Amino acid sequence: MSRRAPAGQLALPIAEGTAARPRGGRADGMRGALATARNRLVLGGALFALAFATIAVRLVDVALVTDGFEPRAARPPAVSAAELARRDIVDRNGVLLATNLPTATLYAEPARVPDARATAARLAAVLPDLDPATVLARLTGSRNTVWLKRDLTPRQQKAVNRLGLPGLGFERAERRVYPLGRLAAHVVGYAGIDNQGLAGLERAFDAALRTATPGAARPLRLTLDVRIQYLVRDELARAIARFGAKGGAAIVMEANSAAVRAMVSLPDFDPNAVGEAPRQALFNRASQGAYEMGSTFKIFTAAMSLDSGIASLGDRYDATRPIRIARFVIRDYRPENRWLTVPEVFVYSSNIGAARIAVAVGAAAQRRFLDRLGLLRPAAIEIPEVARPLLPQPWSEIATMTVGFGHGLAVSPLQLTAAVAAVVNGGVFHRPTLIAGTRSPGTRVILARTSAELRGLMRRVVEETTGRKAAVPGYAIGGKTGTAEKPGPNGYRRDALLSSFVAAFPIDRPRFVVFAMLDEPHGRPETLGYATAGWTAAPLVGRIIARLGPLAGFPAAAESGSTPREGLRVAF
Amino acid sequence: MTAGASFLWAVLIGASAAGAYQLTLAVQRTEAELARLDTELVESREAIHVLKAEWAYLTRPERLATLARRHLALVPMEPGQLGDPAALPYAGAGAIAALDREEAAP
Repeated sequence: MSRRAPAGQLALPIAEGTAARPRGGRADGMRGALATARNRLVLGGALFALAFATIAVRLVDVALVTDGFEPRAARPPAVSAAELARRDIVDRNGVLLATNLPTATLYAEPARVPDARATAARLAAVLPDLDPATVLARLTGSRNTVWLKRDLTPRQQKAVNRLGLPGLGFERAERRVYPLGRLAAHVVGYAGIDNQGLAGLERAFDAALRTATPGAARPLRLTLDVRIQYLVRDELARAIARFGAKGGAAIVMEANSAAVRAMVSLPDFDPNAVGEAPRQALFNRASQGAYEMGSTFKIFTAAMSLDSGIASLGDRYDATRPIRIARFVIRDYRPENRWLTVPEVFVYSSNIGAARIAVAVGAAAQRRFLDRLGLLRPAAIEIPEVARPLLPQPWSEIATMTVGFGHGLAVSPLQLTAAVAAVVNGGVFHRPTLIAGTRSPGTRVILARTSAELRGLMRRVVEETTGRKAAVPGYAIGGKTGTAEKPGPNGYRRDALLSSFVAAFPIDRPRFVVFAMLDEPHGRPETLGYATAGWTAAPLVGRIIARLGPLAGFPAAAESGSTPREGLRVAF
Repeated sequence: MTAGASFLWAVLIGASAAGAYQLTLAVQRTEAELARLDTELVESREAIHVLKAEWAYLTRPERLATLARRHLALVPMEPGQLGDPAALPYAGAGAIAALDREEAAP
């Protein structure tokens, strides 16, 4: 339409003009010329119309229809929290345990540095730990690019920028940082300088932590509670210092899910400076060490005999004198020298009695039972540092006896704690875990009735015998001591003890299982020189529970016999 | 007529050109603003991330315990300090009525 309109307009005057012309011989020639001119005009008009139409179409196209090939906004490559090279690790309450921080590395291009001496001097003034002589040497070297300093803080970076020195530049880098330092070092582990997980959960979840899917970089959440971890470490460190122990380990586990709330091994290390840590500090005693635990194993001996019906609470076992078998003598620490019932064997911690019960149950049944409690296989927990338990070879009658009171079979504290949790929680074994939200379905290992009986026995240990120092006023605690002599080159060493205590709290419906172990504690005057579990590990567990209880919201029961004073009477 | 049409077209072209120019300018300004906001967003996110790490470092239990010991008259809670309201002896409805009477009395 637009193409025809100009032609029509043009045609009109020409036609009129033609009509107005006088008739003549030149009229034919005129008409021919006019026709040519008209055709040319039409053609030109058409071309212009086409051009305008194209422009119009393109205008609409550009303005309204297409978005063009250019990006609308120049988005910088977003280096945000979501796109860091490694995900965070947080505790159950979201407290940061490990994170990646952006840092800058300062470099220089010597060719573009006009005055090396002044540059070196001014840099050293801003970054005090930089030696001007070294910087000068690097700046005057022959290399194209020289690194001057790693891991600058944002403040330092700003200070260097403010100097306005030419020839300097920053390269972005990332650094793994553990804000809480030593607190959960053995559990969290550490990552190397190239963001590679080298130990602990950092190693176990290395691949998962690296896949920083943009926008979906959820942190790895643990079952650990930093507050509990701290109080456990605090108390353990105090006990180690007090008894001059070589080290120690402590675990707080939820009884009903085997979720680890705290796991401490001392000595520990600072994951921010792993290189400076002595080798033995990297060793996780709580999961990596296999120890003969001693009398705490009587929990399992009693549980298996009562559960299988081989013994009942009233049955008596001969503990009148030490058992001599092959070249071994099994004797009691504090001999009662009489026939003992199963509760008495447990409460007085009689090795002879436990050995007799174990023999009555039999090697095969014992082995099966301990296996179901996860004591014969490495603990199935997420960290790679787990001990392979050391089993007696062969599992002879002597072995059956000694395992009955916790010798001849070495397990890790973690395995023991998980097994005790199964015994006290009503009889269901769960795989211990460190990752929030993972709960193993659990397998029944003993009857609920047996579990209740064992809780009663453990309560008596704290109320009556070796565990008395673990008692906390107002709290119902049950537990069992274990003092083992450490094996040396010439048999067991009387001077090197491994004192441990495992407790359940509150004992009538356990919520937590607390384990603590001291490696080679030494007696003190106030413990009458004793370094046994009842004097060292039991009070430690008591202290842990006394601090854990209020934190977990357990009110202390009113002391029996103490009636509330009249002033406390309240009418609501 | 022809002149009128031409003038009309000229005005229309001029107006649309001016409009297009204004629009382009506005778009450019908005895009610059968007780029600035994007950069700011990235920087803020990074700052938040760094501050979170710093917060975790400054609130580590060990440090809080030391500071609390130095500056506060507070000590760790003992089990006996936590109670269950239900454990309190209940004086009974009669006592409440008595209290009400006491309050009501001048």
